Amino acid sequence: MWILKNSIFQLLLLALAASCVFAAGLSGSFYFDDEWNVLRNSALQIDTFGVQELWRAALSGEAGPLGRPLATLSFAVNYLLSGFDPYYFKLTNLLIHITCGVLVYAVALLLSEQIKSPKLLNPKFFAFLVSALWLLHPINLTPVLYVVQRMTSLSTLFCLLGMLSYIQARLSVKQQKPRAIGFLFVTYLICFPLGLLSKENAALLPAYCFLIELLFFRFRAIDSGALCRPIVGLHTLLVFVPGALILLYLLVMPEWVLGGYARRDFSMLERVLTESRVLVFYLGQILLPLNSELALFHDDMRISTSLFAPLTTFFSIMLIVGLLLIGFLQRDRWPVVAFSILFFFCAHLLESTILALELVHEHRNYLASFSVLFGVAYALTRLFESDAKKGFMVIVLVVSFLGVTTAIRAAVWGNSPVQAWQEVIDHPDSPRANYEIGKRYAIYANGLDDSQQKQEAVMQAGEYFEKSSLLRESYTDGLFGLLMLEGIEGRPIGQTFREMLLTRLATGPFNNNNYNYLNAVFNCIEMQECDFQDSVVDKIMLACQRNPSFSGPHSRALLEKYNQYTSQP
Amino acid sequence: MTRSQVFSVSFIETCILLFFCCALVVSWYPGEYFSVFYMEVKITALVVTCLLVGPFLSALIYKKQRLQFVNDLSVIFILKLITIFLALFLFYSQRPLLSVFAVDRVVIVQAHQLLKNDVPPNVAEFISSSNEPPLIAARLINSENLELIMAVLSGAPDIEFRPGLYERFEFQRDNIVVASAKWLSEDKRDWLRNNTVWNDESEQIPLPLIYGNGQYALGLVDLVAGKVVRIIDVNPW
Repeated sequence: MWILKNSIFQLLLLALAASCVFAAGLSGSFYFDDEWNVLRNSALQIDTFGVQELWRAALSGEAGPLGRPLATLSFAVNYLLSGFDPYYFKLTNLLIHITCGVLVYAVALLLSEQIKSPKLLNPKFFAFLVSALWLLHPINLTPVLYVVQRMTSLSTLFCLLGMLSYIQARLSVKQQKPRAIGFLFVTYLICFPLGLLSKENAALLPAYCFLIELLFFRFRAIDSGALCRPIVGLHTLLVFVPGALILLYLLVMPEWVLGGYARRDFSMLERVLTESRVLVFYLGQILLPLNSELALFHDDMRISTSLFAPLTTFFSIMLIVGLLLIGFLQRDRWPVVAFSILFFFCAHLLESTILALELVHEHRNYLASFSVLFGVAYALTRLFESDAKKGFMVIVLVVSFLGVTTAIRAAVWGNSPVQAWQEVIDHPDSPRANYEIGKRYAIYANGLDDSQQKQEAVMQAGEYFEKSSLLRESYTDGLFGLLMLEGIEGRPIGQTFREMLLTRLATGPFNNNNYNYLNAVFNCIEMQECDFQDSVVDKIMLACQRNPSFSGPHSRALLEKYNQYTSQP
Repeated sequence: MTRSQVFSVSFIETCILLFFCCALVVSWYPGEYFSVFYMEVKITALVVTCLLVGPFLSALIYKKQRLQFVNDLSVIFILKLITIFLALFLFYSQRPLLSVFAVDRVVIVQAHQLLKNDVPPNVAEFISSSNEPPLIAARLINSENLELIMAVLSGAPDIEFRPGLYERFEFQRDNIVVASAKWLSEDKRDWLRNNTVWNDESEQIPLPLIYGNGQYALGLVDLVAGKVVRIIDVNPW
């Protein structure tokens, strides 16, 4: 039976289904961070496949500590082949997504063969189901239709390839030692660095392999069942030693992590507390995704200030602790359940714990959702095996629900002005969603001749920028929007909002967006599109210099621009 | 399973799939737009194709060897899904998105006819919040913009297909009323009174309506509801 047992048929079907579901979203535009990482990165605009140009493009990224050169390089190649046409950027992302789906299939298939009791009768059908759920899940939409998240999907691709290679190595340890060593080489010396060069999340690849070892192979030889000492040594060397060193480094140099919080409006404790609720939110959305809850921006999520504020923080922590206990204690009895739980939390170790990153982003579940859906698919396959008719009905319903939900979401993402509206409708208290729609009104107003329509568009832009400014005390997006509106359209920012901007620049957390906005202000002046009084620019720069976080190469570049501005007659 | 059982199961399954398709199509082509865009014909074609590819083909290739037959059924199922997807994709990308008032007529703009990413935010708001294509207006090209005028004259999309020129219809309310009054000669007024529910006190404004590939009809525009409320299949000129 092809649908149950033919891998090629199953994979073609998966690719077709994913293409159908995402097709309507490919016509969308670039969104949010794409502007700074792709559109405004002039090094990506290469003319030939010359080594020097490619090298320069690869090293031009500013995201993350490593600059993510592999992802940046792929953007440059996209530009060379099709210019800045978002359709082809998204199409490339879809191809990467489908490739990841194939790898999910392969990993799930190999892992399912290690589930001893009760053994699955149709491992290929199980792998097909895991891949179908993962490929069609709406929480995995942003790595496809949000161009810059190719960083996540590429990193995931190499992690999955690394995991696959590791499992292959384990399966061939006894019979063919050189083959096993070859696979381990691929995992740790090819996939691991390539993953890191795409996005730093791949740093967790050794931990994923450790979990697979702990839950499915249990450090034992496949044939004899004897303890496999080289494998124990390998994981000690690659997981526990680096883990201990990082912990030690954190204890000695806490500012390595704490320093990042100077750019945030929450403390490390607040982040960790909030992340407990965020993780439960992610789990909820993986198990029952709702398009009204999913969004590009989740900056309307309330920050937890203590264990009981809000009260859901406490219950979330209890739930997480409970799940982790089940995962650890029942790992021999229910390896699939343990894998679903432990892998999910392991995949969030980097982005959802102590590092001073933004609080919520759906793309962080791209790999994490794999294990949860692995568990769901296992339950569905068991149901199918015990009662084929009922099981088939449930499987069709679940897959159809995910496919239709994602297709509807993709259709919205395929029309960027409608997508921007949908964000505000679903998340009216999101400062960024309000800023984005305000920006669209400002751009629209800028293209109009002086008329009633223009006045209305400027007014709308102003209202959304003001709302954005009031929604979160530390954000400057809306305030810079108001400032630009004053410079370009002559709509006064108003004393209250001007003071608010100066105060936030001087005393608030000084994040990278501020540098981007300040650069935009100076570019606007340079292009003679903005008209500001000198005192306005002076006050802004003075406020920035009062902020202790205003430092580093970005601030020096800005001060240089400011000096040029003041030296002009 | 016997041949007739295979046919019945496949028939029921195809009908369920088609029911969902029809529900989607009705939401994309609401009210009068369904018949204006000949959706009954297109839906019939889809139903016939699916029945041929589904139950009829399944019954035709019926085999007694279970494994081989199930393999064939898998392929038939995929074929049917592809047919439905292609049809839905076509219907979705050609759905009526906006009713655009341009100069002296209303043009029904379909989704594939414009660059959606250039739609102004206030128009996007209408699209998101209305169940039927909302009425908007296209501004005339500024007479100083010779480049654009020349481009349009040499075949580039006209103002009704340029999202950058869209605005809320309220800004051209007077133009709409004047255009309708100009069009509404005494004989047309009589014809409308005798053949439709329209009368002189009616709030609905009659205007020529263009849709599809240059097809025309008469549209009754409701400026309070902000949409075309009736489409009458008649030559407006």
